[in-house]
Amino acid sequence: MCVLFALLTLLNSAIAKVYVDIDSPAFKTIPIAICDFNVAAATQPSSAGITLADDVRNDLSLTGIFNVLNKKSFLEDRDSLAFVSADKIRFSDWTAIGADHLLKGRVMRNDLEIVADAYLFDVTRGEIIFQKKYRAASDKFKNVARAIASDIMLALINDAGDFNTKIAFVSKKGLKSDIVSVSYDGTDVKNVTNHQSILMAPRWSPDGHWLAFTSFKRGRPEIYLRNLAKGTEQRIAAYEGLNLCGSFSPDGKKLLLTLSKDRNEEIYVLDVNGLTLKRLTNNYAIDVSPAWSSDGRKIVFVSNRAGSPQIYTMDAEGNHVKRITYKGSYNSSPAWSPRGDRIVYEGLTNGKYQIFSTDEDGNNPVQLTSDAANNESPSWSPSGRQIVYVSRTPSKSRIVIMNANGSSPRMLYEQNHKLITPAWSGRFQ
Amino acid sequence: MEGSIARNGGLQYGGLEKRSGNRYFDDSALRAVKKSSPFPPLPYWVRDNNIEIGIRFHSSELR
Repeated sequence: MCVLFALLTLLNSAIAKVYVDIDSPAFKTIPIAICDFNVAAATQPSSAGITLADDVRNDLSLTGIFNVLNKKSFLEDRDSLAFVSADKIRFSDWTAIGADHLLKGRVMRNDLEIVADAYLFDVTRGEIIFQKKYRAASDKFKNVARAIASDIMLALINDAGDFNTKIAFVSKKGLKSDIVSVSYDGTDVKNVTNHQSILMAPRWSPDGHWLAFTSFKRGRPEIYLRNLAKGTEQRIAAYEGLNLCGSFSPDGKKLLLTLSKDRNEEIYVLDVNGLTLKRLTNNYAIDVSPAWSSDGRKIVFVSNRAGSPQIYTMDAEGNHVKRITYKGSYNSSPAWSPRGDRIVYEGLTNGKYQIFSTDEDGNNPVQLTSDAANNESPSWSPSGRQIVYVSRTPSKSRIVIMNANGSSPRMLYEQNHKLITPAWSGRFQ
Repeated sequence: MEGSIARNGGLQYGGLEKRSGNRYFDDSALRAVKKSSPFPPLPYWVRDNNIEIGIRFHSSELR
């Protein structure tokens, strides 16, 4: 951002005011100091303040946006660390260690509940940004931490983040597979289905209450819809031939499918309540892997109509088909960013599958992964700031999260068996 | 943001003309301009004692 002086030579006195545009200034992580929370009397355990602060630190680190400063670098002494009002905090002690923001707090925990107060300060201005109270059941430290982390992101960059989300994927052991879900922070690993069958492509409904997927439970590929709270399942597509799950529309009312009932693979849209079906593509080629744009007006999909699998877009009625990938002989698994501006997909390059993203009109394609593994099946986080994908080597499968620009990959889950098709949920309320 | 630069290159004034809705982004833009001061002195052919400038910061990553 410090390049202004070079532009001043453009100015001359005849012009009242010249506007200079500065595009894409380099992204710098936000330095934040998080103090251990003060603990109210009679709180059990007395380490509650450290637990809560550690959970907030961990949550913010996962975003790839924050630089959470090491608490060993803090200069304030024990007594002043306890102050939570702007007039008592020595902000110079915080600017000295490079913090732009500071979180302090207080926590009380008894058998019934946790009550926490959080105070976020702007260190350079020496003022409070917000003060807020949080309550949760006594074992829900992580929920309180996620709410605080989310409020910090909202206050600073006007985005609630991805804290209260899950990732579902298929875990294969031999011929048997099931869907596993894991929280964004890597905890709470659960087996969602018990099909012990071939499963593919889990898809979350936008509200997170339902999971649609393809299962060979009855010997052939059919689509199921699972109510996650009740644990009940319903078969919603069992047409002749292939039944493959696409994605839910942003309003949750429609589900895109690939069916082969009319000879070759075509894309259809299913009304989830009435189970009425409408065909969108009509082509001698294979059309698969449909996904909606964030506004529900467009669909991105894969077709081999030009000879090799490539990414195309069309409108929600199946018209105005446009090819958007031209590089490489295999591009597949597209997903549209919730922010609307990018499409992520996997492509074959130098004999490996890697993750790419591009503008919706096919401009500015960027390769996001380039390691020795096969990196496949990208799915966006609700904020559109992060992407989950599966990274496979002959010996291991990993579910990995990276920033939308490909930076800071971190492993969420790994196993020696095969993992496929991760899908990121919406935000849970 | 908007600002005015004096003959000697010093920043006389810097402020936000229009906010982005992203507090961190706004603050960083303002900090960047303030840290850039002083700018090179105005060239001799500028007759005024200061110049007004506007700077539009765009970022797809920090929206």
